[in-house]
Amino acid sequence: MALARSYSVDRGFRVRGDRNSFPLRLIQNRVAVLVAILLLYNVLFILFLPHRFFRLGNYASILMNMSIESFIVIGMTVLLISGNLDLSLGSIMALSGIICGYLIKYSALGVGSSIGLAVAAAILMGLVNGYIVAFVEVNPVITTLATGFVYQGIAVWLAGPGLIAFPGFFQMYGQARFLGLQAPVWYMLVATLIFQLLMGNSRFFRRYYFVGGNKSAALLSGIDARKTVLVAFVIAAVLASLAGVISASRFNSSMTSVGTGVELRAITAAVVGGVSFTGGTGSILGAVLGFLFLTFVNNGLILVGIAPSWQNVIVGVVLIASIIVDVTFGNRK
Amino acid sequence: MVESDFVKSQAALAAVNIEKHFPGVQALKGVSVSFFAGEIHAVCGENGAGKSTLMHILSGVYRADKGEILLQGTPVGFHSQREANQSGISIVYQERSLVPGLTVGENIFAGRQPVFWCGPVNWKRLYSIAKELLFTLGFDIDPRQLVGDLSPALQQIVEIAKALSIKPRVLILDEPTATVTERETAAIFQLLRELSAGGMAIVYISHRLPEIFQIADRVSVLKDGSLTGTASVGSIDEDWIIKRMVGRELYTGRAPMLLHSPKILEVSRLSDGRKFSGVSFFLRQGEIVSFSGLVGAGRTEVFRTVFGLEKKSAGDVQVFEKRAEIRNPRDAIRLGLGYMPEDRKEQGLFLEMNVSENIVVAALKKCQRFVEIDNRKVAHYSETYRTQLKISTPSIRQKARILSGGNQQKVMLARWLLVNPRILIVDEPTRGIDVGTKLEIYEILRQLRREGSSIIVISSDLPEVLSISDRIYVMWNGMITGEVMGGEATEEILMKYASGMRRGEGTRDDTSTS
Repeated sequence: MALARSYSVDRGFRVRGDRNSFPLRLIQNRVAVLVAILLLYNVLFILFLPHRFFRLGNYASILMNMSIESFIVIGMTVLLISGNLDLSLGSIMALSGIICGYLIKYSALGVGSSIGLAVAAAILMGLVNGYIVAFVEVNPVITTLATGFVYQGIAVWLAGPGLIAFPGFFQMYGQARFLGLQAPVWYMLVATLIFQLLMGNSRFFRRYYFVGGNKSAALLSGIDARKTVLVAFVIAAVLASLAGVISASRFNSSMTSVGTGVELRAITAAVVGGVSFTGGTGSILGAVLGFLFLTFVNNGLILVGIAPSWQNVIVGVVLIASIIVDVTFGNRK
Repeated sequence: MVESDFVKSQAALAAVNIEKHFPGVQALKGVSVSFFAGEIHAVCGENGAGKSTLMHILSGVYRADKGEILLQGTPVGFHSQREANQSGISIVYQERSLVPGLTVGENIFAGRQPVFWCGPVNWKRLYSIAKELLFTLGFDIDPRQLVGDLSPALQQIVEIAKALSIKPRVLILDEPTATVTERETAAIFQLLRELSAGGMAIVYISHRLPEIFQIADRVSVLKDGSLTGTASVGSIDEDWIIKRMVGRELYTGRAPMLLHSPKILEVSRLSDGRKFSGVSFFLRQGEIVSFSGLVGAGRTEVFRTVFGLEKKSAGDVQVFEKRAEIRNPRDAIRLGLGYMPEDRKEQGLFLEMNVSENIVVAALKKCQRFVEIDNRKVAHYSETYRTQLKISTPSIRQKARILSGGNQQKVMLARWLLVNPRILIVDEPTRGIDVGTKLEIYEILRQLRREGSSIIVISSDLPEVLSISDRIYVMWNGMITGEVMGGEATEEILMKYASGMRRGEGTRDDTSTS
């Protein structure tokens, strides 16, 4: 080792890279920034609207409002990090909910097997998406735009506008409460935790950063990019189907319109949460916090009485602002 | 170059009569070469000579049609790069195989991160192994740093560390110094010498002949898919290699000194406030002036500013002895400037469009009939330049993407020849191009000069600068450190200016304000 030290002296190298200053790195840490903004946001609302905003009920309803779609956010984040996206997730969510409800209502199968078959159908849908994107090498936007129409069409064919009124015990999955929070909120917390840990610490899931960051590099490093991407589509589809099932249970109905527009909301949340649109960077926690932020904003707008039509305007502004911050502070080169 | 079976069995890695066909090409025609433990073996050849095909076969990316790979005398048949890695063959590719957004440590162990028994990645162990690995290589790089924050040279070191992390017996490097400065090259060379002294077989692919003499023990030359020679470096010279690479000698032709022709472009004390400052130079009519220096010296930035692509913070530009206010490329083109960027694929070519569209795109006015594009004129101009520049493409209707690098560069040249700028700035015109096409491009530039254009060549390739320039400016660290007449320049002088060890007359202010 002494030998090694003397070489580096001989070579006289500047070995540190241009490391950014601490404040700049803090700004570049999206999770820290989002937590700070959320705290600030809460403080402002607590000061100006203490009665309506700062109630446990309001917080619980904010979490509930985001819980079901957060599954889509998580799946989309995995895909975005791998350099892909899936615009059929809303349709997969709807079709899975319909399949599950259909089987519960019209077949002799139990609730468990119905959910299982709905998830199995989603696995198939994810495989179709993933195969076309990863193995046939068709652009993911076009692929999933097309398959989304197909899945949505099948859902309408099966159930028209949708199905309502399921047996009571199925509703329990979506409506039970625990420690004052509704079941879907717990599902969201568990799913976020699991996927945050997996994306952060599992060798398999770390591959998504390599595949999305530099695809040819991943191949040269012996990573099977195609298989990895295929699995990402399946994961996202399964998460979407769980969202569909939970939604069916929670609202006692599965509607074909249930997932409309959720893909773009999920992409927005992920990008606000620091996930790179071109792949390779970001985290599940960041994306879910991004979604939490958007939900807070919507909630706040309603509380202060701004018309719902303005919500989309605000979401668009937030998205552009977060991208400008990224570009300015060099997260995205 | 027949080696006995005994020799082959002693080699760490040997290729025996390797043949490889691609549709329409015989990429390798029975190549046999042996790499021994403890030697640094350079492999050189023009682009398309079969070097990278051979490396890809050795590292398991491709399979040979015929022939054998012997690993310490035992025939092996790799089905994937992973299998080659497991057998102790590691390769550092020319293109970066690192992800800038991930840490140094994780990049080194891409897809092979150490894990706890129950699954999660053991980050602590990963970083400590990475740190130790980098340290034994002699580099104190923090493995928790993001790769994107490192200089290109240190990224190259990380690349090498990544290849070494599988503890290979054979290390193949494809042009490892392409993006690295001279001083850092020396460090990489020292590292390679230590590794080979430790018993590793090192295969070193390079275009740069001086490097081969610096680092290699033996050299093998490929030409058109055949091995044209293997020799111990001590017993040969550069001409020996060049003859076997191209079958002809490099030609240098210079114009007579042009002291009296007018200064067609004159730049005084130009600064952009960031990458360069106080840059003054001039270009005479009918001159080829080169800007030499290391990558990152600020040369490209100077000319992007002159061309109006970047804002200047101070300084003047005079074109035809009149002060010119160039705010954007349109202004520059109107004044008769042309700029051929360094990166053909990113900034120059429309890859999905065909060759003729690429040629006429900057001169559509010439191809107009009233308001319509006249396809006969387009075809006429494209065919003219295709023949004149010997662009080898089956048809001018072929997409630019499928052409080789050299032919893509010729298409770019054709585009500017059609515009016929009075001042043409070319940035790294022959990077990544084989020697044969290089010579053709030099000839095209000389032809342009004979027709009265003036040319600025930005080049990091010293032999290139020496062979085509009438005059040479050298930049270092955002300044011009030297000005040398083409006939008086040597690699040594240029390197001294380029490394900032010497400052010369070119930095005087009076040369520009006179």
